[in-house]
Amino acid sequence: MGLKGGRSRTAAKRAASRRNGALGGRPSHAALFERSLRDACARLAPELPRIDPGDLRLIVRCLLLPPVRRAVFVRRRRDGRYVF
Amino acid sequence: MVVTSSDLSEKTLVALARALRVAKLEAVVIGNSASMLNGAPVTTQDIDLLIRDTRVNRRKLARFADEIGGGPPVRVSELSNVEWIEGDLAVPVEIHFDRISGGLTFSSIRSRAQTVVVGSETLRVAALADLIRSKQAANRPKDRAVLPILRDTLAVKKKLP
Repeated sequence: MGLKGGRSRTAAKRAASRRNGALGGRPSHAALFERSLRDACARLAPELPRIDPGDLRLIVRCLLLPPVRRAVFVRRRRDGRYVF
Repeated sequence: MVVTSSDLSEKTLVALARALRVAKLEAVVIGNSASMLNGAPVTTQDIDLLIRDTRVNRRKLARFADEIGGGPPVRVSELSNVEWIEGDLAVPVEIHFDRISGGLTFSSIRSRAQTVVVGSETLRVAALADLIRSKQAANRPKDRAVLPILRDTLAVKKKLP
């Protein structure tokens, strides 16, 4: 409750959104992605204690993205500066 | 509309894959571009491709260079047989022939490579284990710098479903 879509604002939904701190409405893609990232990191961290938690988060984030979204090229501009 | 670095990188990969397809050049993406496509959180300033050094491929390579708006490939140095194409892509393309460090041949790399979908095109991308092996053997400072994160990525990849 409180995260269902649609324009209806029943008392139950309003109460749920007050309770869970969310604004209501469907969770955004970013929120869903963040949740799956958090869940995966929580599951993997005990199995991979050697990996720094920050690195683990970066790696899992990259692996959860579609391959084409993983690539980041660094480009050198004519003025010598580098841009992503 | 805001163009993000991710959009630019995606366009670059799609243009690369399209040019390879049009030129009918069989190539495997290696180096840090391949590491990125394997999910390692790294960046790079070029795209490395591994191809077979044959007369037919040399012709296809010239066509590929033309497709990406570049001139004929030029040697990086007299001490190396790596060639370089500066084209219209966001980053230059480096061409490696037949083998890379670690005793890895084109055939062995290709046999373990995976196909990655980029837009409506596909790319053959070297396996992360091969990239690690190659960087271990090359053992240059820039290889040593990136090895820990590649090893960590491989460990995570094995655990993720």
